[in-house]
Amino acid sequence: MNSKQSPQSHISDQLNRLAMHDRSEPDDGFERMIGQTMRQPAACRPVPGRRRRSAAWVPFAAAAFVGLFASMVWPTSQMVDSDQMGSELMASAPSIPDAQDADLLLVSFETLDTILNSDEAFAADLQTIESYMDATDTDLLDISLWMDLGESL
Amino acid sequence: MEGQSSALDAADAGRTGRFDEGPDDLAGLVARAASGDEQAWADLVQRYARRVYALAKSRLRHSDLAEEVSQSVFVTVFQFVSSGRYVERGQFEPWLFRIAMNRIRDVVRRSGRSARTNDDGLGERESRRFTDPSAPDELDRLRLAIASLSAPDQEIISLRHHAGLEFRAIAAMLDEPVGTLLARHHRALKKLKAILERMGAGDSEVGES
Repeated sequence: MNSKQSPQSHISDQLNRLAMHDRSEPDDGFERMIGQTMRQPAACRPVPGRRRRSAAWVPFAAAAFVGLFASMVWPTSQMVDSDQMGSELMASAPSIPDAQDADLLLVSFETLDTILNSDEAFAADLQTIESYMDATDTDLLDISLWMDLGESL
Repeated sequence: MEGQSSALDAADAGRTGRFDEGPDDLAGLVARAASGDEQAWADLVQRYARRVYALAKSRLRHSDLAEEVSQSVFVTVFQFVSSGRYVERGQFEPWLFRIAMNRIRDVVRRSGRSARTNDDGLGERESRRFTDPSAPDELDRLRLAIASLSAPDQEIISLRHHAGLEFRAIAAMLDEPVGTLLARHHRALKKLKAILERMGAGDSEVGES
């Protein structure tokens, strides 16, 4: 072996020493750990440098799904436009199948009046309410008052 | 007992990067691994794991990331070889280290961790990043000097010395002529020498030789 080394072979030796140093860095269980990782299922393996994906979208997606599901199961009722509501217009909105099977189908205020007037007892109770309102000059906003009146009916 | 000593030999070979087996033996080892031979897998890991780690460490300058890259490389190798997707054409080593380089590039891209590519000396922050308490000062300075090389120069140094690849294997891996790589390596060593001299560290060492 030459006793005189060229500068570049000296650097080359230094580089090899650095490489040896780096290779010696992992502990003795390094190879065993790699052997175990190779046989692990894909989901358990580490992915180098990859950021963990955020799961913040999950609650929003779940809420959107529930909303979509609810809108499919319980369709929105047709709303009566109060500006256009005339005496002929009644709460005929529910075109849902159950309403068609109902005994009563309210189609106008006149019909409602007819029905109410035909029931003497009910009409009497309504009159009681009206007279009570007239007497007390109240808007019946108090919930307890409604409860009292309901019980009286 | 004999198996234990052969495992220890393989571990030493993994550190030094020197193996007595020829390419045919390596092909046989890969074939045995493909057929599910546990010992063959253990030998392959012993042979290459630390070289892959050293390559990743030299490029990423981070022990944990280098460890993760090493694991990831062997997972891929295991998947391909054990499922028969790897076709043996005597290029196992370049193939394995190409996977390693791709993984390293992925990590660099994701984490923004990149090699310095200028020759303007090294900042304090860079110096701190390279300071390894367990490494002798001389090696620390060498690390700093390597970091100031251009990316292709760093690459050839890492592949040749840290990964312990022969120039033929590097040529097959990078798809470049051996002569080009020899010249690049020669130039990289010259630049490294100049940088070390500038840093004042290499003066006495180089002067003695």
